[in-house]
Amino acid sequence: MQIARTSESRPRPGWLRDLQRDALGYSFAGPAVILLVIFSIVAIVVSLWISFHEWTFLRDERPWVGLDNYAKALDDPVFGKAFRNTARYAAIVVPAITGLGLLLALIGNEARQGRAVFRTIFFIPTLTPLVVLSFLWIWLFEPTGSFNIVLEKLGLPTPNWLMDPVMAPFAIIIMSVWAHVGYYMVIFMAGLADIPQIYYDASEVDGANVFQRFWHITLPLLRNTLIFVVVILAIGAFQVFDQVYLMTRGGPDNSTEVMQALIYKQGFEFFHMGYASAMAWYLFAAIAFFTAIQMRIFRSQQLY
Amino acid sequence: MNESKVSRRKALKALGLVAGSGAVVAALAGCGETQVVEVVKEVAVVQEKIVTVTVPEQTPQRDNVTIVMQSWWAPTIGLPFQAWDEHIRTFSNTSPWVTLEVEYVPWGDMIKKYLAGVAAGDVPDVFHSSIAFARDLWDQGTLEELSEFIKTTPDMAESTFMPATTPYRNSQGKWFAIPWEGFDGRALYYNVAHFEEAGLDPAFESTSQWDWDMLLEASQQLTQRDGDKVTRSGFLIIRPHMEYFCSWLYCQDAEFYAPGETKVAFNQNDAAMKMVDWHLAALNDHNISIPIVAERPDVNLFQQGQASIAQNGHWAISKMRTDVPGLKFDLMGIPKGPGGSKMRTVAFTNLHALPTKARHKDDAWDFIAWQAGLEQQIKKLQLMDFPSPRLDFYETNEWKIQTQRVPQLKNLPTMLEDGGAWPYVRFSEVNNTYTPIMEGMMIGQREVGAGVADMETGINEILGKAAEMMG
Repeated sequence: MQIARTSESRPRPGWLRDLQRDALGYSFAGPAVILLVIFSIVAIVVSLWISFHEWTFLRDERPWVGLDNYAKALDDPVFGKAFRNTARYAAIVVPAITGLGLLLALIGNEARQGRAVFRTIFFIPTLTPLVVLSFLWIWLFEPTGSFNIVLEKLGLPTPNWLMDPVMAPFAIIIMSVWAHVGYYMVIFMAGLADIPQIYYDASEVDGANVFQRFWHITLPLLRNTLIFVVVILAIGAFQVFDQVYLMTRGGPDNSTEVMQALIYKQGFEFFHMGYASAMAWYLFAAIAFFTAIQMRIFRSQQLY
Repeated sequence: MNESKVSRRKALKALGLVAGSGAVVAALAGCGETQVVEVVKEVAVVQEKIVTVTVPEQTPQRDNVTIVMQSWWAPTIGLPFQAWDEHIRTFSNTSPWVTLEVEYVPWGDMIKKYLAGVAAGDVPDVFHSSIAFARDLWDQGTLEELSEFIKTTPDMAESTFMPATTPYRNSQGKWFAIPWEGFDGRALYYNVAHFEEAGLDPAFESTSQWDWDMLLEASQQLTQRDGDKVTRSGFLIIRPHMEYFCSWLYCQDAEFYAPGETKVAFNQNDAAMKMVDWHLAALNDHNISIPIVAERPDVNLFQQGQASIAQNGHWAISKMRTDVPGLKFDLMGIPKGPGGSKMRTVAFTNLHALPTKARHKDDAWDFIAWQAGLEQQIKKLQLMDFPSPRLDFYETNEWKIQTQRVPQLKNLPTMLEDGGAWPYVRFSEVNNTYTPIMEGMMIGQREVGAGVADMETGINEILGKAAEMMG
C-alpha cells in the first residue's frame, strides 16, 4: 500500500526544529548579542586595524605604519613606567583584596549577631561613587589630613602622600583596597553560605581545629568563588583608571601613571589613535596572559 | 540678506484678488452705467489692495533656525554667568528668526565632546574654544576658515583686537577664530590688609616695581609660622603649570617659543632654571608657603586669609569679589626677574570658532560677530567684570566707570600690554611632557638642569612634528 506524503507531513530539518524550539530564547538574547558584537567584537577588530596605522579620526590621511606603533611603545619610557606601575598595582591589590575580603567574610559569617550591620558597613564604599571616594581620600592623605594625624600619634613618619613618588602609588593602593574589599567580602559570604554545614559538623567530630577546617573544607569548597574573585580583580586591576586620574593624574613625576590612563591620553587628548590602540593591545595581551596563569594555578582534578 | 520677500499666504491672496478683478471686468459687458461705475470702483479697491500687498518693504522674512553653541560658561557656575547666559538670548532681538541653544559642557570635557561630534558629523554651530585647543582643531581641519566672513564684517577685522591675539587665531595667514573672552593673564593676587599690617605699600605703583628679591622679602615678612610650621603663607608656592611657568619667563625678558614656534627657547640665559630654582628656594629654604599637595584649595586659602599672595588668572577678579565681598585685594603681574626690564605676564584670550560641518554658518557668524562686538563686550564687563580683547573697549566711558567700581580692573591693560605667548601649540601633548618633569624638579626627584634639558627635548619633538604636519 502506498502512503501519500503531503508537504504537511514531511519532517522538518533538525536545525529548524531546534530554532523553532529556542526562538523565544534567541529573541531575548538577540539584542544583547547584537550590541555585544557591534560595540565589543567589531570595536576590538577595528582597534587592531587602527593600531597598524597612524590614525587620527579627524583626518582622512591614515597611513599604514605596520608594527611601528608597537615598536614605538617599547621605546617609550612612559609606557614602560605605566606598565610597571600597573603590574605592581595588580600584584598588590589582587592578593590584598582577596585575602582581606575572605577574612572579613569569615568574620562576618561567624558573627551570630549584627551580621547585617557588619556587611552594610563594609559594603557602603561599594555604593559610593569612586569620584566621591577619591576626593575623600585626597583630603585624608593631605600632609595635615587624618591619615597623618593618626601616624603622628603613633610616632610614625608623616609623608606628603600624594606628592611623594614612593608613597603615592601606595596611597592609591590603600584607597582601592578600602573601596573594593566590601564587594568581594559579600561574594565570599555567598560562597561560604553554599558550603554544607554537615562537613563542618563531621570535622568537629573528628577533632579538627579552626585552621584545619579552613584549609581542608572552606578553602577547597570556595575554589570556584576564589577563581571568580581573583580573575575579575586582576582584570579590573590592570584597567585601573578612575582613582588614579582623580587623585594624582599619574603624578608626581609619572609615579602613578597607569596603562589605561596613558591609553586614554594618547587616544582622546593627543588624537594618536593608532598608538593608543597598539598600547591597548599590549594591555589586552598582559591581561590574557595573567588570566591564563591564574586559571592554570586554580585548575584542579578534584570536583567539589 | 535684506531682499524683500512675500509670504506664500500673501501671494495667494494677491492672486485671488487679481483673478476676482478679472472676473469683475468680464462681467462689465452686461451692466448699466451706474453698475459699471460701481464695478470700476471695486476694481480700483481691489487693485489698491494688490498694491498694498506687493509694493512696500517688508521686514526680512527668514526661516526660523536654531543655532547651537557649545560652551563651558554654564549658568550654574555663578550669578554673573547666569546673568550673561540670560543676556545672550537677546541676540534674538537682532535676528528674530534665530533661537540660540546653548549646550553646556564642563571645560574638561569640551574637546572630547567636540571631537566625538566631529567624528559623528554632529557639531555645534558655534564652538566656544579655549586657547588650549583652537589651534589644534584648526590644524586637524575641523574649523572653518573665517577670512571671507571677516571681509563682510569690518568690525571683526584684525585691527579691532589686541595684536597679541593674532597668533592664537591665525595660522599661515588664515583666520580660524574670533576672540571674545578675556583678555587674561596670570597675576599675583595680594591681600591688601596683610600688606598694610606688615608695613608694605599695597599700591600697584609700588608692587609693579618689585623684582624677585623684593617679592621674596615681602613674602617672608607676610609669612606666619608656628615653630617651623607655616600657618599663613606669605606666598603660596604651586607646582608651576605652563601658563604660570611662561609668565615667569617673560618677566626675565625670555621667551617660551623660538621664532616660528617650531622649538622652545625657554632656557636661553638659564631662564627656566632660574625660575625653578627661585621657587625651590622659596619653598624649601625660606619656608614661605605651606607644602605643595595634590588638590590644595589655593583660592579658598587666599580668600580665608591663610595666604597673603597667591597666583591666579585675571578672570578670577569677579569670583573673588563675589565670593568674599569684603576682601581687600589687588593684583600685580609677575615681578621682573634676572635680566628682565619690568613686571610681565602671559596674555591670552578664548575664542569663538565655526566648525567646518556647522549647519547654520551665516547665522552662527552673525552671533559670533554680535558677541565679539563692542556693545556686548561692554555688557559682559558690566555683568561679569570681565575685560575684552578689543582695543576700542578700553577707550569707552563704560570701562572707565567700571574701573572706578572695580579698582582691580584698572591696571589690567598695563599688566597685559607686553603679554607673552600662551603655549597654545599642541598644548595637551606639550603639557603632558612638561608636567611630570616640572613635578619631578619641584619634589627634588630630578636635578633642575637635567629636568629642564629633558623638557626642552620632549617639547621640541612635539613642536617639530606639529610643524612637519603643517608643512
